[in-house]
Amino acid sequence: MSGKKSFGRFFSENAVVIIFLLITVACIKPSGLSLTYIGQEMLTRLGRDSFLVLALLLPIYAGMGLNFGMTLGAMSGQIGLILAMNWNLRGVDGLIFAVLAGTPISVLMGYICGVVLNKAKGREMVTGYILAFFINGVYQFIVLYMMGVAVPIKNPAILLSRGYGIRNTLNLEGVRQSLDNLGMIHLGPFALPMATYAVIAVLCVFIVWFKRTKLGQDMRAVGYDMAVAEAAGVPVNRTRVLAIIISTVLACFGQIIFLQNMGNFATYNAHDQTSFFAIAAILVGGASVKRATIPNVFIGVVLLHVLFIVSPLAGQNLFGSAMIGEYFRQFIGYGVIALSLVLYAWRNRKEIERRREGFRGGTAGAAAAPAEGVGK
Amino acid sequence: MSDARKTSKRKVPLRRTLVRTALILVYVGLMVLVFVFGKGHTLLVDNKDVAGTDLRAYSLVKITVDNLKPSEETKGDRDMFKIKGQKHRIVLEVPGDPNKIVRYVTIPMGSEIVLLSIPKLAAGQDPFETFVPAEAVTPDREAQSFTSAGSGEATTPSAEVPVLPTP
Repeated sequence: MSGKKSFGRFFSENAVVIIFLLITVACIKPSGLSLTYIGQEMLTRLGRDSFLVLALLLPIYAGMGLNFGMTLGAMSGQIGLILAMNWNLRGVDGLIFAVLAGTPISVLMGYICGVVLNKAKGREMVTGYILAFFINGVYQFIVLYMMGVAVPIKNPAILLSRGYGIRNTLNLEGVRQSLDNLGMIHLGPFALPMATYAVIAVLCVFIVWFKRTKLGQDMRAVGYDMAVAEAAGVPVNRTRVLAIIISTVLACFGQIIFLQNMGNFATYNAHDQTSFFAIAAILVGGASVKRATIPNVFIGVVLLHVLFIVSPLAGQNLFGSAMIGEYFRQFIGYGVIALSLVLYAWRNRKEIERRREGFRGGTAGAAAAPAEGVGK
Repeated sequence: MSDARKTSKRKVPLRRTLVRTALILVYVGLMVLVFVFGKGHTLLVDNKDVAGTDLRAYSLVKITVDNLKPSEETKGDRDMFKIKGQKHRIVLEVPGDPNKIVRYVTIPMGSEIVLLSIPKLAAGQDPFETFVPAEAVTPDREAQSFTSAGSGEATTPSAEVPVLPTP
């Protein structure tokens, strides 16, 4: 009985990961792709996406849920890249310039986002999502109408022929894979972008170190219980704003790393699904709205992207249409987020019921853990 | 006591302001540094006779710019290198001549495309020549090329018009 219960609990806690793992494994065979190809793609995508997904951790620690506002950071990174392309900056220097140009914008965006989210405590995710739409409008206004007029853009390769506004697609030829190719190691059939991995590793170390600092401890306290943290003298609002600022800045860096790997970007909608796929990845990795760890990030990126690699071909081979796999990819992204949020709500309700039983004198909930709290 | 406190209170903001100003300056300085080192240029290398002089093009020459992939040019050829930064090392190797010609050139910061004459470079003269780009297509002419037959109305090329996403 107890074994059954513990299995049930294990399944409910890891339902998203288990379901995803099963679908992914089931799709590998019909896709007809070799394991070497899947492995190489997975290694590439691990370098491309991990930084963006890691940017989600701090707001989760601070109890602000999944930061849909990270799109603001992505837009800042894109503005940095547009400026770098305007001045024809090449290589890693071009990327560093994009980072330096994008950082002040992302700090400002993060501050605005943090202040707005403080006004909407308890509804941070939906507020961040809608805020991203609003700032998207501002971004499009600046990039489509202000660049070339108020912002001097001289490079005809990126400017629309009418004299203002940036072209629909930007070629990042000058900085394409400049970070990935730096210190690239070839191990058998695999190419490992070591510099990109090193940057990701530095961010992981930073997150581990940051959690031990005073500010990191404050964030965890705020995430656990805002009222208690306030009573203990933690500046709750300031701490939450800082969590969002850091996340937005990291999202800016992450978007630059992502785009240098892709080699080009759709100026007006490359950022649209940044938060969406990053959040899907971290949820697939077993994280929830209130609990996330670094391993969740990597498990999620690997699982989500292996499915993304195999699903179009599996769709092609099983149903005769690659589009089915493409639809499947979209469906999976949204579905995972929905499933995870539903499971989170369901688990919390179960946990509350169990605790209530414990208070009534039952044995089941006496030793039960509290409702899902802040990650380790 | 209160005076001392006041003095220390005054000092702290000043120090903080100085530190912040210094940090901003370092930040801007870093951007300038990265800009200078990362500035990209297109280097066009011409192996052509120089008009009005006795400088003649090589019948075959191997050109290496920095550590980029070398290019072999016959007489009258033009090749392109995408380079970054201002100072560059150019090595010329002529078949049958064991001596390599090594030259260093500094590209002006404001120039996006630079035309360099190999015979002038080998002779030790100022190798840069004025680059005249092909006639640029004006927006009007570009639009005309998309004029639909019979309508007389110019249409904008669809690839350029940004498609705004709907939420």
